[in-house]
Amino acid sequence: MRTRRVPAILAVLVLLVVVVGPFVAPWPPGETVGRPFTGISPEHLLGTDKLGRDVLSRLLHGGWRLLLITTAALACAYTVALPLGLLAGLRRRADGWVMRPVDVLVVLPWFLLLAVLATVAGRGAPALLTAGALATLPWVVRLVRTAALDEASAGYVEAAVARAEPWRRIAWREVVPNIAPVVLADAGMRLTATLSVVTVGGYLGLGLPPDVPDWALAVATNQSGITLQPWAVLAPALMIVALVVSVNLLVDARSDGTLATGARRTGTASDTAVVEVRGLTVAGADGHLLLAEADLTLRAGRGLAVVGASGAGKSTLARGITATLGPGLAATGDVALRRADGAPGRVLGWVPQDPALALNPGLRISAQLRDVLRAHHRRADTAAVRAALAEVGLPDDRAFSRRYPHALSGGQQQRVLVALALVGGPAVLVLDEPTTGLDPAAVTGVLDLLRGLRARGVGLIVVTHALPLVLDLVDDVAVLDAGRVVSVGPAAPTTLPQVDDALPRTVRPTTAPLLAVRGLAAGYGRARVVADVDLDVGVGECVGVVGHSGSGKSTLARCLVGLHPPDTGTIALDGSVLARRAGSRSRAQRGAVQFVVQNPARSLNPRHTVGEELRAPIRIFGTTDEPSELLRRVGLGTELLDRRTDRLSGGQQQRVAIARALAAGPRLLVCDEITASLDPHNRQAVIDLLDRLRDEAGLSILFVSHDMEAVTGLADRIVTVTGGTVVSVDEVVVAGRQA
Amino acid sequence: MIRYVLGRVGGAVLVLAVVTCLVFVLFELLPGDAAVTVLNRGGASGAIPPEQLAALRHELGLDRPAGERFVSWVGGLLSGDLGTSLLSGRPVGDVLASRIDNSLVLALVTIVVMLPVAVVLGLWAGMRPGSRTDRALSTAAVAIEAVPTFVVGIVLIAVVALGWRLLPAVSLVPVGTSPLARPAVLVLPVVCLVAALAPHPVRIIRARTAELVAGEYVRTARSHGVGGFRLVSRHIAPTAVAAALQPMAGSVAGLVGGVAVVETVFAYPGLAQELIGAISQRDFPIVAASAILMAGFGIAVYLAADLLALLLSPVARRAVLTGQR
Repeated sequence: MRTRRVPAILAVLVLLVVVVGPFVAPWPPGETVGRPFTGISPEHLLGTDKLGRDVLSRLLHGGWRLLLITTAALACAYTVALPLGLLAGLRRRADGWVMRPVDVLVVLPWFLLLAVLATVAGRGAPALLTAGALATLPWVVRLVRTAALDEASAGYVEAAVARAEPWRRIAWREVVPNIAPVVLADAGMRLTATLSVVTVGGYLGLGLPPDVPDWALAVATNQSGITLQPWAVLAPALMIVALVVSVNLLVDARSDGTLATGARRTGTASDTAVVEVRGLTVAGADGHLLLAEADLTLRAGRGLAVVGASGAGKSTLARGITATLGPGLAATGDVALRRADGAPGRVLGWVPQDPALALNPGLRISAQLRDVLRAHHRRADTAAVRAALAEVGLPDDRAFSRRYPHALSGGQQQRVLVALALVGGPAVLVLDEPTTGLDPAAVTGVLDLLRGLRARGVGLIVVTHALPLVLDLVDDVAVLDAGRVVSVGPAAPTTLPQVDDALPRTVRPTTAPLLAVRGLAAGYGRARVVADVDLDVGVGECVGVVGHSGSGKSTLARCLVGLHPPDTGTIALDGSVLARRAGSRSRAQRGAVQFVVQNPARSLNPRHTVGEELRAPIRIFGTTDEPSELLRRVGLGTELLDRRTDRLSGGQQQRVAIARALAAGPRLLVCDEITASLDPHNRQAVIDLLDRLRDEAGLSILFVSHDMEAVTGLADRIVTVTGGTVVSVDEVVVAGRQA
Repeated sequence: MIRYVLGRVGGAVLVLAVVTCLVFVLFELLPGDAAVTVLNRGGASGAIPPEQLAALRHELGLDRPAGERFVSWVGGLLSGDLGTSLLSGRPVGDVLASRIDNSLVLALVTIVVMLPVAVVLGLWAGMRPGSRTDRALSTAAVAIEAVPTFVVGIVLIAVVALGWRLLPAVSLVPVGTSPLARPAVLVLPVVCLVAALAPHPVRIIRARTAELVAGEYVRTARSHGVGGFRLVSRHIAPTAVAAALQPMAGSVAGLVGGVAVVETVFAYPGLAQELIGAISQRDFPIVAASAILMAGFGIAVYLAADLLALLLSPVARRAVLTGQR
């Protein structure tokens, strides 16, 4: 946090001059009180100007008109721009109509506006005001639209849209309170920009009449005497500088983010160790420990798996070792790296978790390989690129190597990352969740590749939550919990974390169909995201939808609740076809299909209390449920009713979101990755809650997730989606179910 | 892709056409009559003889219907006839052409200096987020960004020209010579314009660079040993600059007003004097022609920036090809 005291004091001083100045000026501002351009004297502290008027007095009188015109211009601009931006951001159909004129206004230089307006309206304050407002307007519209678009994807706005609340109500109740901080933070910049237009107009003589005391005019009038009496020019100029600089520094929201500091790296690992970690501790910017005093040793050619719950510090450990910690993190401790054979070359090759983020989207894969080859002083020609690609089992033809990362599948991206990490012959490969997000075939491929590397003597450190998959690749398993290495032991089936045998669940007989989806297709622009999906959900049935990210799961879910109009296909509830948009469905239909979204923090309006959040659907759908009764059903106490939703924990927020969905009296609950950002405890609580609701109320559930464990624990059938189409539908066989 | 580019160029022409219509309509809505303005300017205040007014109206073509005048005006614009100044009676084309070369020299030199300065400073600060260099540069950019151009100019004149006596305070260029023949007169105007227009792109490039440096693929590339100039020039600069092309276009388009102000501050012999004179005297034909020139410049600059972004960024190209833009 930077100190803002100096700009704040400066801004207050300038404002004091502007407001109080006219009352304390020693001379009348319009009167000639001395000879022109006389210097500083006790009588005239800043001398006199071109017409022999007192500079100080004119300075004290010269600010308020400037500020008044600017404020009026801003007020006009915001009055028009705020509704326009909200309209464009929240109403897709209005977007083009609003933004095209705004885009035209953006490309027109402000001087053009000023020139035309001053010619049409004549020079004067109205022309300055209108030009300032028109120059400011498009930027405010753009900002409000972007912020509103961002809000539109928040769970609470989507819930309101799915309830079919009128858009003005959504705008003022759900959106405006949340975008206000962004708009206000920008207002300072807009103030200085508008002030700039107004003062420049004044300086060029297009604003106020020449005899009016005004800082900008004073500069223009007295410029001819700058050698005789510089203060007549500099004093008003410096007032303008003080005003705009103090305002700009005051509102500058730049955060001084710092890059990560790495652990000490030494080359003195004991004889047989290639990687030796001693007391590695990683702390966040707020001092919160992500990893505490981790000790690990990896001997040459060995394999180590790192396991633990999400948030246990697995990735942090891998990143601490490879010195790729994210911004704001600080690592202490020692990481000793040494090649067992004593040969030169890199010790570590790093393969981060999400291949789509780890490859530069703007460079062909051949270019990325060449850069790394050069960095290791290898030949960086086509043959070397081909060899590197062939080594990881990728096609080595020219067409493939010229592709951009986005044109590769997830498995291929993962292999390119491995190829990059292998350049320079590292002794150890560090991989973070190498199989997550890949389809089964790609998982097998990547595991085979790692097996081959292991056989060649490359050591492995594999961070994973799917230990059984990598068990044959590693010799030891390190278990992490809450940032601490709890145990390091030989890998054996006994080290597998205990998987709860599925709880005895009641067998649900095949039931009448509730939801029937036929030939559904949807997309964004020309890109097809969901194609030809058929899906059935019975009464009281839970269907799991799985697939890696980008497979179209979420779009499918949004189509069902009417938030994303499908291109073709039908969605039928109880045999009657639902309209494409929530707004066109009947109230009963809207209430029957309810939606719970992934991010609990974005799911509830942070400016509302739990009670307000729950009363909105009750008001619309007229259900008899009391908010307190809803809270009880999701296992929360009524004391939360008056609490603001941003004060709740993630698990509480997610349960309130479920309660809000229940308030509409749904028959089908569409859950989109609702356990993804919860800790294991809360995750289990939410899964248990859904299971209970299904049993108690006969609620049908469509459970979209990539958490296989959660899906198998809850669902009766699992639908696998890849590339927007259903590739398989499997009955879940649960121990106890057949009993 | 070609269809997209053609569509964008077509759109730009359409926007220019709309602006042209708007300018005509605005001047059509003016209270009073151009003929009255001309006669009043002749010094003949008081009653104007109706026959004289009618004759002048006929001479200026004001007695024809608005539609007909619009067609002939646009026809004139297209064939290079920009109309006649109400004030001096000279063809607008001659008035504008007389000094436009000096203004263009000033604008071009500024662009050539400003763009590299903005890119280098932005990358330099962004590569070391939170460092002393970054804090100093960013604070300076924020502080200078808001200061109106003429104030920068006045302070430069007071300090550099009058205080240190290093450079001329007034840009005297004898008629018939190019300002390039005496580079000293260009220094302060160009510094002034760069100070006014560069800070915004510097801030955007700095922010985007800092974001990229902290991002996953740059961290991964670094862990693979890619560093130094190659990391900046290939992995960071294209993306960071592509993100800043719109603000840079804004700065270049801002030259339209900036040059006018700077020419006034330094008494530089460009178009500004003629134009500001025409505005305050409400000489519509000159203002209308200049407005269309300025609009064309702004539209062209933003169009160029958008097309350049396609060239720099495969991600932007893909967005166009998949129709997500």
